[in-house]
Amino acid sequence: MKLRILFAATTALFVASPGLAQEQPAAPQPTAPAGESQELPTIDVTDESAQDLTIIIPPMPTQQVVSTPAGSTDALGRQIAQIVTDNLRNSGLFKPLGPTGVRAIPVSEVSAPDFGYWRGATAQALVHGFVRANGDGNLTVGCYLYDVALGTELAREGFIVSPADWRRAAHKCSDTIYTRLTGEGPYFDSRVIYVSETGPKNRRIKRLAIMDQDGANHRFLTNGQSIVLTPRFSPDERRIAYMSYQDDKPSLYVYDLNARTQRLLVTNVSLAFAPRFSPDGRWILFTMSVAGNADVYRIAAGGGTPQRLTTAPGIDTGGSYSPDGSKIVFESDRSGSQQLYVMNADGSNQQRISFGGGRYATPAWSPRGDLIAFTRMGGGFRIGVMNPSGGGEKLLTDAWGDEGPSWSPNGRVLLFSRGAQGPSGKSDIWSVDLTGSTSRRIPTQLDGSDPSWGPLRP
Amino acid sequence: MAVAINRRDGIGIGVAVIGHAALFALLSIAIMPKVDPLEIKLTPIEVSLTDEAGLVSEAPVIEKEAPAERLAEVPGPPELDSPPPVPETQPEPVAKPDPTPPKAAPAPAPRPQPKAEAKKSNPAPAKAQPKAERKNAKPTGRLTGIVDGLTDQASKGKATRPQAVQMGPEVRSSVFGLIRRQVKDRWRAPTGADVNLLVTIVEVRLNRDGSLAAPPRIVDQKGLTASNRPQQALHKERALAAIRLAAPFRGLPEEYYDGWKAFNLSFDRRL
Repeated sequence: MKLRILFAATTALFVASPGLAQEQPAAPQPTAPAGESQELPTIDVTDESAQDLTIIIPPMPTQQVVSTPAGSTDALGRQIAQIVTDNLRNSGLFKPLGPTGVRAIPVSEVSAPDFGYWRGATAQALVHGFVRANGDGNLTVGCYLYDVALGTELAREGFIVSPADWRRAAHKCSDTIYTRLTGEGPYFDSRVIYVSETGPKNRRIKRLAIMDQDGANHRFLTNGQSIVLTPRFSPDERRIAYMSYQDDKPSLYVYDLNARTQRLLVTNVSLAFAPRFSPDGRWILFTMSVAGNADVYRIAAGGGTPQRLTTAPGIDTGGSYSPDGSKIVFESDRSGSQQLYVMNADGSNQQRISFGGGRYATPAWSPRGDLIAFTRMGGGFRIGVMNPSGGGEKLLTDAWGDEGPSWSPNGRVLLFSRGAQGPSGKSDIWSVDLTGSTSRRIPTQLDGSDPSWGPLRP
Repeated sequence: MAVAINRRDGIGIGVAVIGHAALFALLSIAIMPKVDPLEIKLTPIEVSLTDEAGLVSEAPVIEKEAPAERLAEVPGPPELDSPPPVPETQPEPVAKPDPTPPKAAPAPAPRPQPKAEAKKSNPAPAKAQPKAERKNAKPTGRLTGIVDGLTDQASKGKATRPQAVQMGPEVRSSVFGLIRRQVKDRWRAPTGADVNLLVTIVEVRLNRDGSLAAPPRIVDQKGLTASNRPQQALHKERALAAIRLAAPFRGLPEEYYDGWKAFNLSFDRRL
C-alpha cells in the first residue's frame, strides 16, 4: 500500500476560517461597544430547505494520456470522478452532478476554475482534479474543492497511489470534500467486514467477508465450513475478532488480515459471544457463560487468561469501550429485562442508563464519544442512539428487524442488519445517517448481517 | 332746554340704539349665513391641497405594496413557530413578486431614484389613514376638516423625515422581512446530530446604500453540544458567507436608515 498525501493545503476550518478571521478585525470597532450589540434588533434567519448541497464534479482531466495497469489515465479521471460522485450521493448530504452530463474541463482549469460558467449551473460547490502517471509507475491524483458563489478555493489535496489502489485516491478525495463541507471527520476510505449468508434457513452458510465501504473489492475470508458470528475490526484494521462454531463448540478467534491466518483465543466453554477490541487494541471484551452465569470478560488480544468484569446473576454481555478506554457500556438483564449499563473499565461503578420502554441490546460506543448506539426491542427492532448518561434518546430507524449497529470511523453513520419480515431469515446490511434522514441498503452479493465498520485507513 | 335736549338726545340715542341694534341684527343675520358657506368653501381649498398630496396617491401601487409586505411579514413569524414550513413558505414567494419588480428598477439606478421612491413610499402609508378620515369628514363634521388641513400642512412643511426615522412596527417588520429574505436565500446550515440546536448570532452594520459598513461579526453561538461540535465552526462560517453573499442589501428605504443600519442576524435550521 503506497498512498502518500502529496500536498495538503486544506483550508482548515480553525486556521483560515473566514468566521474566525472576521471576529478579530471586528473587535476594535469603536462604534460597536459590547453593550450595544445586545440592544440591536435581532432578525431570525432559518434554513428550512431540505435541499442538499449541490456539487458539480466534472471528469478529472489528464495532461497526457498514459496507459497504466489500472487503465488509461483519462479513463481513470472519469472513474475517479464517478466514485467521488457516488460517495457524496450515498452520504445523503449532497446532490452531486457529474461526471456524465457535465462539461469536461482542460487541465488548465483545474487550479483556475471558470466560476462564471459554473455559477450558471446554480451549484454551491465545485470539484476539480487531475490524474497523472508518474515515471515510477505510480499515479498522482489532484483534488480541489471550490465555493462557486464566493469564488474561493476551499480545499486542495494530492495523493500518490499505486495503480492497484486508484480507488483509494478517489475515496481520499471524497473525504477531503466531505470533511470540508460537513465539518465531520472522514470515512470514505474505510472497509467493512460482515457475515455473508446464503442457503435455506436451517442450513445457512455463513462466511466472513470484507469489502470497501462502497461495496467494491469484495472477498470472502472464510470458506463457510464453520459458522461465523459477530466479526469486529481491531482499531488498526489488521485483525478481526469473531466467534465461530467448530465441532459445535463456540470459540473466539482472531483473524490476521495480512497473514491471512486465524488464531484461537478462547474455546471449550459452554457459551461465548460478542467480542470487541479495546480502543488501544490490547484487549478483547467478550462474554462467556460459566455455570449458567454469563458475564463480560476481557482477554489480552494475544491470548491469555480471561479476566471477569461483571458478576451479577443473569446475562451480562455486549461490552463496548468508550473511545478513551476508561468506560464500558454493556447490556444486562439483572433488572428483569435487557437494559444498558455503563461501568468503569475495571468493572467498578456499574450504572444503568436506559430507562425507556422495551428492551435494549447491542450497545456500541461512538468513536466520537458523544453517543451510544443500540438496538431497541419492543414492537420491532429499531436502531437508536443516546448519550452516555442515558439522555437524549433518539430512534433512527423504523423497521421490523434492525439490529447490531456499528459506527463509521467519524461517528456520523451507522451500519446495521435489517432482517426481512417473515420466516425467510434473510437479512441485508443498511446504513443510516445520524440525523436519521438518510438510510440506504449497502449492496452485497449475497445476504449480509453483523456488519463491523473498520477504522479510517492509514 | 336741558330736558328738551335730553328728550331729543334720548330719542336720538334710542333711535340710534334701535337702529344699531337693528343694523347689528341685520348684519349679524346677513353675516351669519354667509360665514358658514365661506368657511366651508375655505376648507375645501385645504382639502384640495390634500388632493394635491393625493397626487402622490398615484402611488397606490406603493400603497398596495407596503401592505403586501406586511402581509408577507405577518405569516413570517408563525412560519418559524409552526411545524409545517412548506405551505407557509409558499405565500412568502407569492408576496415577494409584488415588492421586487418596482424595487428592481430603482435598485440599479443611483441615489435620486431610490430617494424619490422612498419618499413616495413613506408618505403613502402615513397619509393613507388621514385621507380616509377626510373622506369621512366631508359628509359629517366641519371641524375635523379644519384640523385635518392644519396637520397636513404641518407635516408637509417640516418634511416627512422626523416621522420616518421612528420606523413604526409595520415598517420595521417590513424592512426586516426584506433583509431576512435576502439572507435566507443564501443561508445553508450544515447538517448533523444536534445541529438544529445551533444558533449563530452575527452583528451586521450597513451603509446607506445597503452595502456592508463593517465585516459581519460573530456575537454569540448557542445550543452547543458534544454531538454538534464538528459543525460549530462550519455553522459560523456559513452564516458569515450568507451575509457576504446577500450584501449589498437591496430595497431598504433610506429615510429609515437609522432603523436598519445595524442589527443582529440569528441563524438556525429547522426542518
